[in-house]
Amino acid sequence: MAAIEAVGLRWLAEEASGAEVGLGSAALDVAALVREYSGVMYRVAFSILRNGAEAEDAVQDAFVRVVQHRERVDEVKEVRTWLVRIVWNLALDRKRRVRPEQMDEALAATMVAKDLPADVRLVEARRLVEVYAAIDRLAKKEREALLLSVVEELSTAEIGAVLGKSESGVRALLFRAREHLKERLERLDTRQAKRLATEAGKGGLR
Amino acid sequence: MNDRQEERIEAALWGLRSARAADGLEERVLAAVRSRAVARESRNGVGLGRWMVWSGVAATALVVVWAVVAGMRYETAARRHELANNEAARELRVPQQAGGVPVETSRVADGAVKRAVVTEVKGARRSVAVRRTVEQESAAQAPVELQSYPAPEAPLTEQERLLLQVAHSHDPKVLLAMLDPAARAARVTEEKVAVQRFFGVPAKGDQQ
Repeated sequence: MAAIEAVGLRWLAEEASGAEVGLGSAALDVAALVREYSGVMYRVAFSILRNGAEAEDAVQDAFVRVVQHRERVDEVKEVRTWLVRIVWNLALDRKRRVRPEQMDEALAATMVAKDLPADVRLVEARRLVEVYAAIDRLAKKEREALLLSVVEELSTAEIGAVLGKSESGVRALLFRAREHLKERLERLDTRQAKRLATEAGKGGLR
Repeated sequence: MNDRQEERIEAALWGLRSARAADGLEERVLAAVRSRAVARESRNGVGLGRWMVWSGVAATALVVVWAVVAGMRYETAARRHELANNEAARELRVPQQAGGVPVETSRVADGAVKRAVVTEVKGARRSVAVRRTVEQESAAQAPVELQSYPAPEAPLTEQERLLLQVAHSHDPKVLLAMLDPAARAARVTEEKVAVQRFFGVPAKGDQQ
């Protein structure tokens, strides 16, 4: 992981004219940061927002913040963790307005295999939507740990740095999150099975 | 059963994990950041200019308000001072006014004159006597007011009137005698001769 001190400095507004502006001892090349970290930042934002356009906007907002607070670059030790934390917070803030559960059906429809029959695809998509809804109902820390673990580039230590937890704490959160998620999905399946049995019984009586 | 749920969870998480942005994400992000940065700079510039204009307007308005207030206060103070002078002069000339608006005058320990002007204000339903103290004046101001408002001339005594008649008799000899001692002596001599001529030989005691 490259420390920010090792990165060249260039302020965006002057970048077009080729002028370089010194910002103390540190140097910031936003173009290089975008090239290197925009992908992981996009996936972090997407894990929360579950919408491509919203995730891209969150990444843009994050880099705008980076430019605005470029004087704090000296204090930054781990650039990727710093950027992930920025986009994470922005995505959480954006989620309050976006309501990603409204887009889950469209997302699930794209994830189901295309070669399946239409009725099976519909059922599979609905089951994926149920998983996303169950994730949203998890406890806050468990949900956040689970969603950050989705991003493969992030280590347990980096997830802990973003969430303010130790590595062991993150592992415990991940374990509990998965257990609780399985229990919820199991209960949901049981309820649905009972409802289907009841409907089938009513149909048989008729 | 547990494995089946695990598979569902993994399938859902894989959907999030495999998300890839559309091609050209970096260019779009860079372009957006650059345009926002430039817009912010220009907005800051416009905001600074607007702030300077408004601050100038506010400063001008403040100066105008200050000038108006200062003018009003100066005018009020001048009127009060004029009123106080008039009251003091009236008191010096006419200590007590008879009838009309009563003026109460009291002298406090330090010699200052404290006046209270009682004004009757007739309202719509009743009259309200409003006691208004104008000001306290220092004793040092009294000589100035005496010079501004001197006492009337005293009437002339009988002797003064006679002297005035003599002084303004327009007799050339009298006038010359007042200016020239020789002429005055000649005139005295002439008067003595006329007296001797009128009364005859002078008495013995007169010659001595």
